[in-house]
Amino acid sequence: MKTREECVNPLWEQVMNTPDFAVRLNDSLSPDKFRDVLSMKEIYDIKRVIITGCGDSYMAGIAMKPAFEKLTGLRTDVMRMIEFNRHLDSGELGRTPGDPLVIIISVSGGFARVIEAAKRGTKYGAMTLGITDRPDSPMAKECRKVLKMDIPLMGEGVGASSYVSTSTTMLHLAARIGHVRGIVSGEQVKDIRNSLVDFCKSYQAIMPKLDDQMWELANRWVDLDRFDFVGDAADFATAFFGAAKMVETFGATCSWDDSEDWCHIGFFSRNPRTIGTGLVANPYSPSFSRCLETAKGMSLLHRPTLVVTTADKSVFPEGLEVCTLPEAKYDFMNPIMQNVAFGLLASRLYPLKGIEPFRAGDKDFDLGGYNGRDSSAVEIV
Amino acid sequence: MLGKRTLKTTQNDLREITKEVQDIVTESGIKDGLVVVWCPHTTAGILATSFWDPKGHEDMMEDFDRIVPMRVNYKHQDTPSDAAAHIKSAVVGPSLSAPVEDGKVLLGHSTGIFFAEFDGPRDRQYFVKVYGK
Amino acid sequence: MLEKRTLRTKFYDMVNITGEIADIVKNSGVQDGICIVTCPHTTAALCVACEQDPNILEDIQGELNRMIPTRNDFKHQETPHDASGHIKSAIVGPILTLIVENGELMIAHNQQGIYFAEFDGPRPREYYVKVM
Repeated sequence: MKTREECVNPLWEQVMNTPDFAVRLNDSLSPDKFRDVLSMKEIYDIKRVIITGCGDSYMAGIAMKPAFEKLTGLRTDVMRMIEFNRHLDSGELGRTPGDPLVIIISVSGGFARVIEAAKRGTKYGAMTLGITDRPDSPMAKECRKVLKMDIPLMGEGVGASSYVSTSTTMLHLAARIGHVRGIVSGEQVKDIRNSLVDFCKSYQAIMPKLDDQMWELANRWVDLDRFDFVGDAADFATAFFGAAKMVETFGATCSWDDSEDWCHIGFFSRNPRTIGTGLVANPYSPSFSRCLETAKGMSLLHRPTLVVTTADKSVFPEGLEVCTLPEAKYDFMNPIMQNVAFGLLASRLYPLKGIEPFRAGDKDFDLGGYNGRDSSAVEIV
Repeated sequence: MLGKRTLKTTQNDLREITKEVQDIVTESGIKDGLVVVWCPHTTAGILATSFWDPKGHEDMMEDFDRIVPMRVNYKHQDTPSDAAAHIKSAVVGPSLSAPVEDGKVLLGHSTGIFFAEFDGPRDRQYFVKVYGK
Repeated sequence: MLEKRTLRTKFYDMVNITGEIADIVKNSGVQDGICIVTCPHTTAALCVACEQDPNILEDIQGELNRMIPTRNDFKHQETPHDASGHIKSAIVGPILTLIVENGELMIAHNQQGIYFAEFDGPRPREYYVKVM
């Protein structure tokens, strides 16, 4: 078995640094940046918000939907990008000038589908706003507005920072829109800012203990290859994030769902003792009672289960691994940081298994960029 | 030193009180200081404007009416004139202060001090405080 | 003598500060003089209004709102409440000069109230009272 030091890797370092990064990020996101992105008139033209992105960006959108709705008072839909690009009726875009606000999230801004989303939204009259690390990217050029996110310099590979950065940027944007619309006061905007920093700082303190717990769990789970993640609404983002990291790092066979559908479908998976299961269950969630029933089901099936929550271990059935994380003053902030538990677990599992992330060096996998993220044809329908 | 004057206003009256204020300053003997004119009513105010053209005063009072019209649906249900007057008074303000230099109230060559009646006709009063040496 | 007071306002608030100012005047020991109240904010102001009917305070805020509506095309692009608040504050004014006579603040008791008028908020605010 490998030692902890042998299992240090870029993903692990990134996740461990997430709280520090998040604190620095909040300091660097000046209010001016959000004041300048949309004028007051543009903000009042918005009647509805659509957020779209792929992978981690989509998850960040899901994570911030409650924050967006609460702070802006606007109906907010988070759409899968293929749904937004090809299936959403074009009449939904630009019914009145500058409405809806379409937020397209992409760190690189270079993939075919995000360029397509920006072109489509702009063409039909929506207020397209690109959130990207590259304001000169092809996607950014197709958007009417661009908000630059800040992510630390990092190599190519499995990341965790872009999710935190995107969701933080969206939270500040929502607060700005809500302030202009009179939903939240200037005082509340300040309090949201300060609470977010305090929340990130509370994670700084618990990271070593969390690392101990995930290291110990990774050693117990090293032989598992099938995984299943469950979370509802904003917590679905955390569940999805966990699943993505297991697939990206060691190529797990993975599924992800919400509590209700898991009780309808995932529940039936065979050999439950060999399915590593992640459940995100927060006590402030309106579906917490259903999450507890789900946890009970996982326990009865003897599924190896990790519960990520702000609640105490004692509320969950015995035998489940419970990871109790710090609680934010505002519930809608918790999904910004709760992903670190699954991130740490993945970062320890793949070196323990001796697998390279993104199937590097795997000859069977080299299909010449088969997924065509760059090469896929752009179609505007 | 504190002076007090009374006056009987007409409706929407703009009454110049510059001479009365100056008289109280002169009487006080104060050469170098400050004069404060205070109106103890909440439907009247004190303001400074040109004293040359009485038509200009009509314009001003009419424009106050245009800006804060007499409506029947104010929350304060006294009379439309009274309800509007409270607002005009709060905006214009109940006091005015000016420097006293060489025993004279320092005003522009066409500036006068006025008691603005936003309701009326009523018996009104105002106070003039002279402060200094 | 200069005194500072702080307060927490609500949105479009009218906070009666007459009692505080009268106390400061009384405690200053000044028998015969003036009292200057100043509000060091540009989206709030000081005004004197009738304290007998709270509806009057709502009417004042409501009418100021009608005169200077919260628009989204102000050149100052902070928020509509902030931008209009700056204008309301400039019109109503941040400074009030009052008379001190026989050691007391001169005001028509139970008639005139001194109000801290909040044109944005809720916010922590302050004002200064100088008695001389």
